[in-house]
Amino acid sequence: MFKGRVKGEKIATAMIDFTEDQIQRYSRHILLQDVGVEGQEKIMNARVLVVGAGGLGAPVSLYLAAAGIGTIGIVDADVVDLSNLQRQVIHFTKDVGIPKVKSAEEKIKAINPDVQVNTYYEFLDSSNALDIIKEYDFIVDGTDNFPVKFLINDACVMAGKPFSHGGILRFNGQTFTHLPGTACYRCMFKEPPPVGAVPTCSQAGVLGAIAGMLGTIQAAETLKYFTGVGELLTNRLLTFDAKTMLFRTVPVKHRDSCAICGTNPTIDHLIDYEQAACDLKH
Amino acid sequence: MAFHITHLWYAIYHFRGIVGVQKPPYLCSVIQTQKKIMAKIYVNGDAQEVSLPLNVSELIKQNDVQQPDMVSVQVNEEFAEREDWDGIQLKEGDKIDFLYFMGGGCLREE
Repeated sequence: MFKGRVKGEKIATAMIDFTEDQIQRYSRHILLQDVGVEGQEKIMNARVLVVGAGGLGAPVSLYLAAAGIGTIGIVDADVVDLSNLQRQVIHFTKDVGIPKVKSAEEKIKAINPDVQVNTYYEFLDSSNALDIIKEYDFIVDGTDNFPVKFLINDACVMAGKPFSHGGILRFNGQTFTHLPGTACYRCMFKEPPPVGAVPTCSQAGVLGAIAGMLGTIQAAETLKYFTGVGELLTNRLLTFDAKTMLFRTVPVKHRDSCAICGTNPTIDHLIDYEQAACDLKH
Repeated sequence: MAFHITHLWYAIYHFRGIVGVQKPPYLCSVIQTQKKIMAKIYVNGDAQEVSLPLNVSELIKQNDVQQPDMVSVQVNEEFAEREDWDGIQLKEGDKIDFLYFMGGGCLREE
């Protein structure tokens, strides 16, 4: 089972004492040569913040919980709405009306009681972003609006934290991973689009499974980050169109003139960009 | 060789300095077309045959890019500043990527 190693011997070298249940639970990770007991231990020591318990946050949280991430923080100020259930698979019909963070916490605990869950039933804004983010090793952007996407980007760059960006719309998705020094969201897009310029999922619609496609990529990137496996989506923007099932990775370069991570950054504080009223609700 | 009215126009145009005539309009377009060069460029990874000269702004129009004021453009993997789009002349083999905002937004409810 452990590639010729004596099971007890391997366990003794690990910092964490795996229980028999944990060995069984994570056996498919441990079997992976690139992960093994050491990789699983890193996963179990990891602290991940998921911003948004919606279409992207749902699959991200479920997979990270199943993988055994030590601590998962969830930020979301919404309650579960019936229209969320078409894609936000962490919430069930019985959860309509309760805070998304509570619904998500319950499912995470049901999947894996070992996971420590911290819930933040509030909006992420310039007043709390840095304080919340600093407690975590990796941040997953699962939000559905540009003001918060820029806020997460800026806060992570300022705090030197890695994060996974994700966006979905209609039949398309895009994602990249930022590590300090690699291209950030502002390198690609200088500032949020004007209010009303670009539609949101709640107006333009989205195929539910697209959220799962993109969210699981973000979860995979998170696990790759902690285990050090493979190459992250840094300096690359992955985009896909589910209509054609064509995936494309566009190389993107860190922009020297970037207002937050460039040579002479002009942004020295977090900005709360204007947000349409509808986004506060959904 | 049969005489054709075109030959007469061309003869007059050839001595335009002497007789002081303007280029006939159709000849104008012929000359301009002859100057154009076809080039293969790659837009979002797909090959496109375009006629040069062509700048980034013109390429955006040709490709019917929706909301051009919302798009980010990379030319050969370098971001092109919006104010430079008119001045960037494309050439054979150039790779152009349009990056779009995705992931929600702030469309006000009607």
